[in-house]
Amino acid sequence: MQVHLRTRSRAIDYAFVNSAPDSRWWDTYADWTATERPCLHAVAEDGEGHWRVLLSGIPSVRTDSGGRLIYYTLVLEGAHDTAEQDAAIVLSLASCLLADLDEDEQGRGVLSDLLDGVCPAPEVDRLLAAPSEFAMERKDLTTRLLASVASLEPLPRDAPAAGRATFDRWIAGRSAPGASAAFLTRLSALLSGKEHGQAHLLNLVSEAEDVAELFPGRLAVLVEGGMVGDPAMPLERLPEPKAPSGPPAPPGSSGAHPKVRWRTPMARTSLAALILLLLLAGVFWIFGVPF
Amino acid sequence: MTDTNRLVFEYKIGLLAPSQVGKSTLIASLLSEGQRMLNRETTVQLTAADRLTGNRIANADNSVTGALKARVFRPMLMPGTSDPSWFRLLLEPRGHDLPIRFDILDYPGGWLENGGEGPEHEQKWNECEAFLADSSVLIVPIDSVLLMEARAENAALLTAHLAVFQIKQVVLRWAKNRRERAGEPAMVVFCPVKCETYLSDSGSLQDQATDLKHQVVDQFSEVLETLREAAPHASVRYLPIDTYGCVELVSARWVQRPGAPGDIKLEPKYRVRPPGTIARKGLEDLISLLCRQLVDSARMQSEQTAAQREATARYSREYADLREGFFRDLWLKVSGERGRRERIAEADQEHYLEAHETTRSLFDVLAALGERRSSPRLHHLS
Repeated sequence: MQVHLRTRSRAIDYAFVNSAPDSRWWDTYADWTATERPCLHAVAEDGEGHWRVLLSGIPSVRTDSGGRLIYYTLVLEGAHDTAEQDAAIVLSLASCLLADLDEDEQGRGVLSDLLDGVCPAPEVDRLLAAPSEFAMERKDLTTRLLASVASLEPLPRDAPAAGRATFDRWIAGRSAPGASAAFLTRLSALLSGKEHGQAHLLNLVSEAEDVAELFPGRLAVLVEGGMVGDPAMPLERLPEPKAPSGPPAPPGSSGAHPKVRWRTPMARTSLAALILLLLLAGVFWIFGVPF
Repeated sequence: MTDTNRLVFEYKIGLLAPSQVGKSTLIASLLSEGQRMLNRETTVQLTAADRLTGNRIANADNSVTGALKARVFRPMLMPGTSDPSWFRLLLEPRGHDLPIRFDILDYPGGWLENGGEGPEHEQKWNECEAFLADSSVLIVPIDSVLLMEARAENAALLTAHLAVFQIKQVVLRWAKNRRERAGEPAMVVFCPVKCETYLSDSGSLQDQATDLKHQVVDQFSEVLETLREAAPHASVRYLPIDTYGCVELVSARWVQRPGAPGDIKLEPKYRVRPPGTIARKGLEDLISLLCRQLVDSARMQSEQTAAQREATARYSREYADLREGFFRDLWLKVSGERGRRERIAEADQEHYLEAHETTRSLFDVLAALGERRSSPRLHHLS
């Protein structure tokens, strides 16, 4: 499993501190979430053989030079055949994020303390100030980070809402009864490769309509509800995505009116030529021209 | 919009500033203030183009107002930006079915500072740069506190802290792009933000308006020169903005910060000025400027389209009426070709009249927008 940590220092803007992921795959979901507030994306799509998870908006105690909140983003990537321990780590992180949000509307809690402990301000300042140096320190940070997140205990959760959580596609507020448990169950299935699809905790979504175009497959969405939406929104089944409209029917195959074929330019031209020929024949006949 | 002949007006507005200047706050304030102001007026209204943008505006606005709750300024509630995001908006002249769509891009200011260095966001920064270069309007928010509190000992570092060089590079690309489209309006607005402490019309005891403007012109002289050379037709404006109107500077000190230019960074502290009511100044002028610019761009586009369609309609009519001899005419009539040409000519005439009507409506909207008087804060820089 690979783990990438992003934050900022007092002076330098957001960047990955230990190592950067190969792609910014989470940009696909930029319309549905603001990474500066607590959110989570989990993607395990058919045929890829691996999963990707992003947790963002985890507040730090540090502030930037303007006194603004600094937050962390964690990007985790692994294969389905990875050790069970990795999946357990991701599940613990996700359950901690949800538990922290239950306790504090900004999401300050266990994860904030853990990441602040792993990344003291002087180290963040030093690593971000020299992006091409300190390779050993970055490696060491990754090791410490993995060890710290591995020490997290998964939090006990309510049982998933019976029946409803088995929907292929659903949306619910994160504090709706059974919603978080259903979300973690889906996340677990995605990580193990038993299911393919996506699971998201989104903070710019308030209704099922908002996620109509998010993803056409199996989808679980939790509404974060801090600034937009209701965190207690009851679990709701999402409609199946609309099938793409097929190619237009070939002309003439849709049972057009039988008279239509007599209105085509070719038919009209042929008719006009026939009339002209008859007229000429009549003229020649009247004037006795032999033909 | 299923009619392919219907005119579509789509524009971009780019913001150009390094990290921590307040791009996100300016966008949030601009949209919420813009909606309020335009709703009071009768000529145009500003709406989110889709539900998700509506949610994004609500999120940004709640963050800004939340930071001022209980009359205590809490920047802690306003996190910075780490990923790009788009605001898709519609400007709709009332009484006319002429939506003008425009997009605003918000992005991490650090990307501008280091030119997208780093493999993880180089490609995304290139997309952002392309968006900025293609924008009809460029807004350059400038941290007025940084500008005014640099003092002589840090004056040499000010250009680097303001990212003037990086701004110049993007402006140059934008200006070249605009020069190639000289028929379209182009505008750059230099907006010092957080100006509450320096302007007397927002309740400050000191009036440093002249000094502030002088500093902007001085620090951005190379950018202004680039604009004059590469896009002389571009309108360049100066408009200082009070981000909150009720927050003022208490202290600003330079502290050691590794990684910042010269390894130092200005750290300001603010307080809420009683009674703590948000009273932003300058934003109404900015939204008014943007509306005029966008409607004017739409008008010019419509005018060009109308001219093209008029020529097409004239040609189609001449072709439909063309006499080609008795037998040929008889043939055209009998074969239905004459009728087909007639129908095309009529459709082309209709499209021309639609474009002409759109242009006329946009003229009316523009005239109505022009009636609003700008505040004395707004100046020309070109």
